[in-house]
Amino acid sequence: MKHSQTLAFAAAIMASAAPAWADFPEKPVNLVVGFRAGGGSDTAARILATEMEAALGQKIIVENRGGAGGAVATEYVRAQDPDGYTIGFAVATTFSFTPLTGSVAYTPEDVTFIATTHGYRTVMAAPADAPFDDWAGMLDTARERGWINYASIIPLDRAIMQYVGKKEDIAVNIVPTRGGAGARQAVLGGHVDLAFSGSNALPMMEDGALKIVAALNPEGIEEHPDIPTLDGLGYGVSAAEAAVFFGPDDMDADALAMLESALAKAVQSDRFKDFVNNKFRGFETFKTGSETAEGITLDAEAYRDLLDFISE
Amino acid sequence: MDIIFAAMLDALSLTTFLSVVLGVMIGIVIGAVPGLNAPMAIAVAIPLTFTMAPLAAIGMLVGVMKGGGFGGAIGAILLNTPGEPHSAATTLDGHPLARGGKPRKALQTALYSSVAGDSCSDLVLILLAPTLAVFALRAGPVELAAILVISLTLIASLSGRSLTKGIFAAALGAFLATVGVDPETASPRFTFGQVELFDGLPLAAVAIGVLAVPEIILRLQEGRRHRPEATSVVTPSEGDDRLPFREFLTLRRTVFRGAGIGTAIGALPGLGTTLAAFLSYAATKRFSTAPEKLGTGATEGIAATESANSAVSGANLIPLLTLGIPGNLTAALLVGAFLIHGVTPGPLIFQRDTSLVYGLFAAMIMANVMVLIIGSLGLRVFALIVKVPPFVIYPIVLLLCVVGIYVSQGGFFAVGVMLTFAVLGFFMLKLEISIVCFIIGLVLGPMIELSIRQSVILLSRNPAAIFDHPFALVLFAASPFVAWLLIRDRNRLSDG
Amino acid sequence: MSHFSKGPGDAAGPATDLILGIVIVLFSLLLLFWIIPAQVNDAGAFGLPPSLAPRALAWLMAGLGAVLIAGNLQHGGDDPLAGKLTWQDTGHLALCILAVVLMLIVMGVVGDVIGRPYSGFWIGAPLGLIAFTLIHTRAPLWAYAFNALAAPAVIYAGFWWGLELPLP
Repeated sequence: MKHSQTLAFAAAIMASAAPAWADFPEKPVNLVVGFRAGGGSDTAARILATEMEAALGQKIIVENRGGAGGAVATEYVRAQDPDGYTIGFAVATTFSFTPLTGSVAYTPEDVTFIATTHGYRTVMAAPADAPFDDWAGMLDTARERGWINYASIIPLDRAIMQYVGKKEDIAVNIVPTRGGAGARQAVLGGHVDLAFSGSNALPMMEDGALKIVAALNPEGIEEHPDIPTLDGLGYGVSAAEAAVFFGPDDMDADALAMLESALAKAVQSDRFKDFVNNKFRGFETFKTGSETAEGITLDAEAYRDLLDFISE
Repeated sequence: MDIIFAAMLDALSLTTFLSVVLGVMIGIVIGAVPGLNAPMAIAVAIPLTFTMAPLAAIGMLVGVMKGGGFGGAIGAILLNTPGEPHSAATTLDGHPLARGGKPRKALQTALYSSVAGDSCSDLVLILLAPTLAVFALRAGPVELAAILVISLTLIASLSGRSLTKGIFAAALGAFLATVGVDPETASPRFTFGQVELFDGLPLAAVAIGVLAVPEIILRLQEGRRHRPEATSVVTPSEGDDRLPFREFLTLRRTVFRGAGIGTAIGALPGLGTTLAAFLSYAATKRFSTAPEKLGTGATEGIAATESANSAVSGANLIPLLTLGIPGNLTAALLVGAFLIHGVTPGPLIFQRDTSLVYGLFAAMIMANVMVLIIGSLGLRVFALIVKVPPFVIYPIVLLLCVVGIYVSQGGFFAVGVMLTFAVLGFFMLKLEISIVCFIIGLVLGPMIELSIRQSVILLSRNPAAIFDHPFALVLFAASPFVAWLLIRDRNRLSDG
Repeated sequence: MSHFSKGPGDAAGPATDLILGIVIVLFSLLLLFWIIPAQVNDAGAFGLPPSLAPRALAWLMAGLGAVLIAGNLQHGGDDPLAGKLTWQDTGHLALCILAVVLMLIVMGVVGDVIGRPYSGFWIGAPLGLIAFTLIHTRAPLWAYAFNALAAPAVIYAGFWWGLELPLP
């Protein structure tokens, strides 16, 4: 009885997107979040999960398997049944960049992409008392002094700065930090000249605690159009980061369609939009599974070129 | 000023009050369950606050944080099963006192010291946050390295009976902490191809494995070895199992020292609770009039660690609110939650989000009071745990550890890690290798390595810049002297 | 000097620390000459190499192991600070760990087969608790019943209904 109710409910909502005979899901769906519980990424996943529950008419059990930037969850999910009852949440670079480092066993072809739900914005931040105000000024400072101290968080931002250093012929002294907090501390305290940061640097800049000299995501920062993107500065590189839902390889087509349309609906909810725009300070974007896969293939090619260039 | 009082009064609504109470209760219960800990309590509570009003949500999370801090002491004191590395410091005196027939006294000491330490650091936060934050920022990698090195030297005096074995334990801990992706080259170290190890060994699984599980195994063994009457762990309420407030006042020096150390460490992002707890313990041992009693169930020892680690949690909010830099895992979780509820960290937060920030302060004070009240009411109930026969409590505690690690640390892999370290911990216990030193090495080792490597990189192009860090140079220079002093004291003490 | 052996569990009595020292030295050498070179890649470092800290710590451990051996020989194998480890301890430890591992295997397999949250837990946990209680050996019958039924029920209620955390 419950089964038929579910079916009717799901069918009513999904009439346009899914075949009417689809009976997925008939039991709770496991969502494996590739990040630690409580953070911004996990929060987005949990909000989406609640919205998806309404769309699917089934409970979604959120489980955190954090570690290695989503790779732990990816390894787990790809070993599960591709019946759609176990899906994962990670970010685009989990698939487009991490496999290139040679430290994981999977490739983007080993999973089925369900959807991209929202984008991340990343920037290059400098101390408020830095002797420069913009990107060109930073380059001048680096040339004058002979080097620049840069706080790095992940391998991708490091690769991008190494690329910039090689292009501009400046010495980039890379200071590794553990997580965003370490890099933030280094840049606010003026211990480095430049640091990679997530969108949480935006309110800090608005308070005048630091300067932002460039955006790394290709879309730029909408509310601060004067911040250039690395792409716009003519480097042709960017860090395209977005939240990605995925499942095991060869996932059941009906389940995939249902999940994709449930997510399409979930990202339209006011609660989620408010979170992405005002709290998380990312940006709204929605890509279907196949669009996500295409995007990731393109990103991976760009990153491979980038790595080839810096190791030349 | 008016707006501040208005905001604080605003916070005194019934909803806020109820959510703080709920938060404190959740925190105490989850913190006290063996195998779970305060960060876990926060992670669980965050989704619950999604639909709440911002002030109520923040109040609840602050309640969970503070309740969890005290809850962690309960498991550590009564069952010797600490859920976090810093609680290992509380077990040093807390458990012997509880086993000596005074579980309530031990818990009371922990509760009062914890609330006192917390209140002191909250006061500092409310009065001095922006100034302190700017000051703390001046500590860069070079200063942090110096602070860590001298702290490690001070803590070395806790190495148990054999100095050689103590240092070995710390070295082993630090060695195991290097497992995972190297922050500099991004290439894995000692991961044997396991993706799960890329972020290092799951700390909670290691801590519970090495600290709590061997204790449970030992208690289960007692059943096999002794006559039943000998297994009755505690004989409660023999003598006066209470801590009169007047007696607590005699601990005030210890508590204030702990609160001071905790506040200072908490304001410096990136050092953390474990360092504060052990540093305070070491300092208390150094300045105590009866240092030989520490480690055998002295209230002084409990007061030292609990006041320090609670003080960290308040002071941690200084860098968190003004700079967005979380000082430890609990604070890192709070940043995310604060963001969701519209508290955006930044130097202008006191002007920008005035009502929320002062509401938060009001909630913190409220939470301190609630921890004191709920904790006092609960003491009687908690102390009953030691009366439960060991054959009932220890099997359940073992299962709880397994379940807790499974859900909080990601599956069977973490449980495997926990069991492996349980074996190690059991051997260390039997061979008298200090587990406390192992934990200190595990927690501080990677911090020292990273800050030294960062310093080397920062100074590599301009070595003369080291003279821009006079504070660090003084500390580095003092370290060998401090070490010598401690070894001398140690020899004198052991000579009689 | 008494007998030599490889495992720390082999020894009982005063020579424990001597053997511990030998085990530590062997372990450190194993790390230095085999595991560190095989598991740490120094390529791409621009400050201190990643293998520096592990190497330094391994040398430190080897040195401390040697000190332990030397000190023990000096005391004539009668070191008052040595710990005590017996075969009985090791056996008990093995038993406990085995019980937990078996419980986990049961939970994992059953959980996988049924594929609903807590199915594995409901079969594995009571069996595990009975085993743990058995290990203690002195429990009355009611304790078995209590541990096997009430405890899993409370955990289930707390973790699933209270916190919505899945178990296998």
